[in-house]
Order: sequence, then structure tokens, then C-alpha cells
Amino acid sequence: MVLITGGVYQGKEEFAREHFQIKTGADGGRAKTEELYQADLIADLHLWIRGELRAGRDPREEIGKILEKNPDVVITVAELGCGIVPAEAFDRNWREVTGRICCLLAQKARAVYRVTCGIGTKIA
Amino acid sequence: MLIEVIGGSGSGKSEFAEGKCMELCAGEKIYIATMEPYDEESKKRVERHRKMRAGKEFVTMEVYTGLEQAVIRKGATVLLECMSNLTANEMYSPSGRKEHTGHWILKGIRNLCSQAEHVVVVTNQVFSDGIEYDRGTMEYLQVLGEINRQIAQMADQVYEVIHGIPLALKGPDGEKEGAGL
Repeated sequence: MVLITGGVYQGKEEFAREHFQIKTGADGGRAKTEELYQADLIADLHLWIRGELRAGRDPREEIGKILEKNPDVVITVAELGCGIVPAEAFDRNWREVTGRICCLLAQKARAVYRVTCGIGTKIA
Repeated sequence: MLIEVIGGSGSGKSEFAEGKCMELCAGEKIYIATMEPYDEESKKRVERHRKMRAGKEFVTMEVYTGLEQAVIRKGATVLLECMSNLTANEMYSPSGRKEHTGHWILKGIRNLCSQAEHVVVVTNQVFSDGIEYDRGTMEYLQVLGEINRQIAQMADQVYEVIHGIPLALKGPDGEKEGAGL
């Protein structure tokens, strides 16, 4: 698995498509979890996490299954943690869960990139 | 040469960008100021930046909108600060374009590059707070993000400044795009 992180609107998905073999992509904001088992690219994982939390499920359990079934996937996720604590409890939890999942993914990834202004830097 | 400098608030990106300009040109340089001082706070901010530039031989030129029409001395070294203000001006101020602002601003950058010897553009790292803002603000972030990326593509060097420490993302001191692949 490869993890690509960075702020919103930095060109993470373009970076992924440019540098990795991507034939099928799943949009984290819309795709069903089953689609994440086989896509070459999972884009906007943070939006999938939000969807899972909204539906009352724990994405931390499911993420393990995704990696097991799809060990070579490229994942893009937005950095969410560099701002003021959100006013809504849901958003606070979402931010926290996303951050923790990213730490886990970064540990397991064979490479981690951070994209700023469209430029990817290998950070791990 | 075109250089893009990105950093968060209080990161030291301005000082770094000024230093780059000093390296590129020992003599008189042009500082393009984009913030319209409309209240006490912004006046203070402008004053602080003026003091920081004192003795560095910058001539200040105010451009709040319409960068594509700016005329500067041929062969000059220009510091533009900052893209986040310029973008907001073009999107929201009465004299701004309001639509296709990204297109006009990039045209403005090309306009500067066609006249200047060196252009240093300062922009803001405002994309990592995880807050889902109202539609207007998200649109602003999207436009600024796109501008930043386009300038990075055109640029010879791109730096991200963190606590005054410049990380070279692109250019001679840095790894090339797609580093480590």
C-alpha cells in the first residue's frame, strides 16, 4: 500500500495517477466499502471514514479488512488536523479517527508521500 | 526565474522570500503589496512588513486587483506578497474579476514573468485544517489551491517554509517532482 497525504486541493489524486498504475479508482465520498476491496486507488479516504462514522460503523475495523483484501492499493487522504478544534463533536471525532487511521496506514505503507502545490515529497 | 514560497501564518515565509530576492538582486527590487489596509489590524500588519523590508531596497507597488495589467521595470526582481490576498481581492472586492479568477491571476503571473528577471511569489498554506467551510470559502480554497499548483508547475523553485526552515520541494536544492520514485 502507498499512502498519499496533503491538504485539500493540493493535487493528491493527480499525483497518484501520474506516478502509479491506476486503472480503477474508488471515490471515498461515494464508493461502497466493497469497491474499496479491489480499486487500484482509494481517493479521499477521509470522506469514506466520515461516511462510516455517520452510519454508526467503526472504520478502524473495516480498514484492516480493506488492506488485507487490497494490499497494493494507493490511498489518498487529506490532512485534517492542522486547525482549531472543530465546534461539532462529530467533526472532532472524525478528525481524530482519521488522524489515527493515517498513523496506522503510514506505518504499514511501503511509501508515504505528502503533496503540496502538486509536488509530492516522499516522507517515509 | 520564478520561485514560489508557501507557508502557514507566522511561518517566516516572507522573510525567507525577501532573502531570496536579496540573493537574486543586490540593487533595487519591487515589492508588490496585495493587502488593502482597511482596518487597524491590517494597517499594523502592513507596517510590520514595511519595517521588515526596510534597508533591503524594495520599492513598494500596490496591486490589489488586475495583476495582468501591471507594468514594471524591465529586468526587475519582484516579490509578490501574497497570493491568498490577491485571490480574495479578485474574487470578492468590487474591482475584482469575480469569475475565472484563477485564469486572470495566472495571466498576471505570466505578465510579471514577461517583464521581470526574477519573480518570487509568496502564498499561504491554508489547506490542512479539516474544516468543511461554507460553499463560498471552499470555492476560494479550491481556486487558491489550483493557482498554487499551476505556479508550482511553472516555477523553477518551490519552497515550503516551516518555523523559518525552508524545505525545497522543487529546484536546485530540492528533490525533483515525484521525489524518491
